[in-house]
Amino acid sequence: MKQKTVLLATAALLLLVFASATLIYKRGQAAAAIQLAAQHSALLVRSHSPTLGADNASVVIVEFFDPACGTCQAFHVPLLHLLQKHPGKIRLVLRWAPFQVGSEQIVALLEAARRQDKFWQVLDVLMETQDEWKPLHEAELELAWKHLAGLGLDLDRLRRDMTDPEITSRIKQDEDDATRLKVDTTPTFYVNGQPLPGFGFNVLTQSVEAALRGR
Amino acid sequence: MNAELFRTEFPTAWKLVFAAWVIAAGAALGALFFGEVMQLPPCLLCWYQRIFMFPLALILPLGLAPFDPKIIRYALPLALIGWCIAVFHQLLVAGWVPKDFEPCARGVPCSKTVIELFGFLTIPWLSIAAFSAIVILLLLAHFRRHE
Repeated sequence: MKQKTVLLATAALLLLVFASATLIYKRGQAAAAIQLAAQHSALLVRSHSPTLGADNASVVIVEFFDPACGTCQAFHVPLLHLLQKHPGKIRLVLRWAPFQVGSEQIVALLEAARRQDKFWQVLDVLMETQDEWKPLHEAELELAWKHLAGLGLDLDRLRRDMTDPEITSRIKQDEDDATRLKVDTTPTFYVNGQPLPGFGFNVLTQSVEAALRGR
Repeated sequence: MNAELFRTEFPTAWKLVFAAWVIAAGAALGALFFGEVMQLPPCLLCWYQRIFMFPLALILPLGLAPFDPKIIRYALPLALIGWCIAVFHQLLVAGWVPKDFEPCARGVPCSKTVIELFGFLTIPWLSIAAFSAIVILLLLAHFRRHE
């Protein structure tokens, strides 16, 4: 009986220490992330980035995005709905963070589609079909390519543009900015320059709504 | 009278195994802290050490209430194998193991130092310390199990 009491008390103590250490560490990390974002606010929005929504919107969401990331895909449609729910008030800025294997090619494809003013259409299609062009968790350009038919793209030009140095250097710039901001997971969101206090679509919605209320 | 009661309730071997469990549980939670809270991805050898440390945190208390000295027999092999892997890991970090032996072709290289506490304490050293302490405590418990 006494043995059991000692064991349970010790186990509870160990778990308590673990939980407190976790809480302290997470708080420290959150504070550091806010400070880092404030220090490097110039790195958050680049003029070359694809954006959606009004230029004078009061709330700017910056998303470090990887088209081959499953969670980014899961967030894609709900995020567009969030923008539609508050027309003219939210602007979305996409930054590239191609962390998955093969996804730099997909990013290059998207940037090339942008030159034909088909960026968002291609993005929508790629998000719908992500499972099909990402077998074995690696993005495969040729599989993605099959889904581009019917969008009215000049496919020859698209392939040429993909290797254009301007596009390559844009992607590189975003990757460098992600490194300096210590973005190592996707999607990573900033709402009006502030990192989210946690992860999840609800956290994002709450932060956006708080920003819309002017807090 | 009370002292006598304490001795029968908590024999020496019990206390030694209990100490081994506290170390195993602390090491397991520490590994989870590095991996899940600090988000440091464990390298391959770290995973093998976890494979031998995590069960110790679970089976040692099962042998403590009620006390069953056989637990030493079940736990010691885990601790010994874990100790060997931890030593191999440290030899790899120190550069004593030829590079051809390095089992980490992809992902996090085992030889990369990700944490250094107080300027010298790395994760492989913490692992060696924990496994060594557990092995010694269990051996002591084995020889004093009839007290």
